[in-house]
Amino acid sequence: MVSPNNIPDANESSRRIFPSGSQKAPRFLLFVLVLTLVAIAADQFFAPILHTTSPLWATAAFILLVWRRGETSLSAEDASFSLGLSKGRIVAFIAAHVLLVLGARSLTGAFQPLAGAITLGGTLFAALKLCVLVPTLLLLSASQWKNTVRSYAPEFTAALVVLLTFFPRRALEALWPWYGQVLGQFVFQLSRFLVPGLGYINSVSPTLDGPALDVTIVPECSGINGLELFDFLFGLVVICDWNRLCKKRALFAYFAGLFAMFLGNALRITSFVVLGNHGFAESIIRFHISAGWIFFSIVFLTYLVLTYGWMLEKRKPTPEALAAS
Amino acid sequence: MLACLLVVLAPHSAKADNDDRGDRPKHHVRANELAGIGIGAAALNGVVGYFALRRRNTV
Repeated sequence: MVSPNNIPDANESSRRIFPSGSQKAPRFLLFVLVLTLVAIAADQFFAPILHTTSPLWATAAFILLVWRRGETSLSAEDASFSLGLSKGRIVAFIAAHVLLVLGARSLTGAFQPLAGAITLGGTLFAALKLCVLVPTLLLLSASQWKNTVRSYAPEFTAALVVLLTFFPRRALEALWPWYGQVLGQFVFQLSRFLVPGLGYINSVSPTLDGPALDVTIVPECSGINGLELFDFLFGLVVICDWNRLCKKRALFAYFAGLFAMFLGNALRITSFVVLGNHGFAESIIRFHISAGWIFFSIVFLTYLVLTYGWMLEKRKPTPEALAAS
Repeated sequence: MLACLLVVLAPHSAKADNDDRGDRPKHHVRANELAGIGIGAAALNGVVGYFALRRRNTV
């Protein structure tokens, strides 16, 4: 039998993961962001030509981080954070989204050839899709936006990072003709000492010609999977530990981590070339896709072990702890 | 460890399952199936590893 005093608090486990801040986030700001998220999703539903995941993820990240941060010293002092949204602004916001959808639908035929194309026009069109965020500006006055960005500067920066860097597939595909050669040459230079007789066949997808196994480096080997895994796992770390992180260090660790994943990808392909030419060709052919993912997760964890303690804020020791020491 | 074991055993298991279908042509595990196994195992690895690290840094 469990007495009422012994019933575990339903929120206890979530509080252990999210220890502070989450209950005091300004509701009006969360409302603005949720409204934005719903409107962007609706835009993409009614005008599929506008489909792009970056603004959705960036808005979701902003919501989660503001919720995690809670009330800031600046937002607590600012009276505008306790105000509601005016109906006029909400109507203007909805009208702007309706116009956007109608415009996009009427221009679908013209934009269709550009959607997903790895060309200058395709890239400009992809950038143009970010205009789904513009109507959000109508929800608050200029001074309110200024105060919001000032009060939640780290969260705003993190959302921008998500918006601009979390989905690098297009950038990697555009850079592949150059990056593929750099990756192929790098792997070749690393492998040639361990695989005698290894050759390099230069093409858009370079091939490392080994005595027992030829390894062709196709665009899917660019490390995009590793980057995406890193993005999502690092995002989890940031959301769970947001109030403990030194924000500048976390930002630096994010970009350094992307570089580490590129390096890890080169080591992954090198291991395929070396092991595949030393009696493990069959295993490499069979497992290289799934084992590659595991390898990326190990690279991520190794990187996190090296940087996690450094990213956390150093808390000042309490007087009790000082007295005890 | 569990994730690594899953990655090693799952393709064998799927292949054996396919081989048992006597009257049908022999199949191999598809690349997207292998990728799916890999993504799941990598995500599990990453999340569990992170929470273990977090616990060590919190206690």
